[in-house]
Amino acid sequence: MNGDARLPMACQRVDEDLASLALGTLAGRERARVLEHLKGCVRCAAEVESLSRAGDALLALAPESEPPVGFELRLMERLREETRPSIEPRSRRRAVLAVAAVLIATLGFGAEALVHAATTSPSSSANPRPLSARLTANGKVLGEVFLTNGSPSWLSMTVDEGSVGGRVRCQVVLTSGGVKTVGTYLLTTGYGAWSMRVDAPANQVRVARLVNSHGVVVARATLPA
Amino acid sequence: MDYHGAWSEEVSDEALMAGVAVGDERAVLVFVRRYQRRLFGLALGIVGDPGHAEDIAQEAFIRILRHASVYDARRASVSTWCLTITRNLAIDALRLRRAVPTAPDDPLFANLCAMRAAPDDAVLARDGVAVALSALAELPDEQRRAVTLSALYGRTAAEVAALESIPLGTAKSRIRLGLSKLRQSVLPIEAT
Repeated sequence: MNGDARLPMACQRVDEDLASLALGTLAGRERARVLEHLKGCVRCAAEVESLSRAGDALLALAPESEPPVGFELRLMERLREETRPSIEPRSRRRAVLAVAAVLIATLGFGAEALVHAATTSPSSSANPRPLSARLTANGKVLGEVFLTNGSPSWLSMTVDEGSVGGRVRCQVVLTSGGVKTVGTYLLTTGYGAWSMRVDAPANQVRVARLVNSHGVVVARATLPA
Repeated sequence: MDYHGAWSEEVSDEALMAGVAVGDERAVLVFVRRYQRRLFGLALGIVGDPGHAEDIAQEAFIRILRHASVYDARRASVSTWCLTITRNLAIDALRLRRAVPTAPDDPLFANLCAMRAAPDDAVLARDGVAVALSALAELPDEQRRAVTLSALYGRTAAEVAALESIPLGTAKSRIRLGLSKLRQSVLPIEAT
């Protein structure tokens, strides 16, 4: 369904998804399609930012609930373990984090992905267009794979065809022939979407695949060279 | 600046965040106590499972505390920043888990949809609540439900369509139109 007929056609095609993007509920291929449009459209990017702020204002009404007993203790324990390495100030990293924080607040991006991509892969900004490939099994399309440029790279995978279920491992096969497992996920009714870091440069990733609990490859995507 | 004075319940969020940013453990504790019910409640409303919601709320706190030094008060209030991070984490986690759309199991949802129960004074006094409530009240019922489901409970347009028994395009339109109207009520005030 298209949006406001006064808008350019390219904007009409994404207009009705801008609110979902602003609220963080747009996923998979639709999200990638809208983000691709936003890169070249100042009007739609500004629209998403202001819709995000409107959505954020509603969060003042979010429900409150008493956390389980021991929540605070468990959190403080985790904090002692996890925050210690990040204390030393690094001005460049802070500047990048500031940009990430703004984007988190406005576009609803995942903090970890942005921060990591921005701080460790400067080459990704020179060529931000992700590689993409269809995830298939026996010639049937099950979903899609996106791979950001840079090192390390970030892999997003969507599975929405419905025929693959159960616990699956997501692996990448490198040009060297090496295989890396990048995550394990549960496909309850054949649907899932996730993003994960790949500890290898994007140009060395040839194949992304799903392997079931018996070690059988149930779906694969061959990324463009 | 000396951050080792006594942190109390009265100190502002922004001052508390400054203490958190320099790693003051007492500031962290006050901050956690101030926000744990809200972050956990928001996560629970989205994912529906207390154990899962605790994981998300804890992860949200870790990220907030880790990034406290880059919090920018010009962009958003502390509460908005923290709740946005929590909402995004909860929605991301749900993408991997929720197979069948479920309606929020929460009396607040029904009350917000019907605009029939006034929040208590303590809630109303919180920053932004009165503005958000009056903006929501101006929306037609079906847009209010769609926007509430998406903005506060993390439901996708497809899930809103299933829950409301309407076509996907209609659900997208309701979310889009509702949020656009809401923006007109909320943003001029928020910008001051």
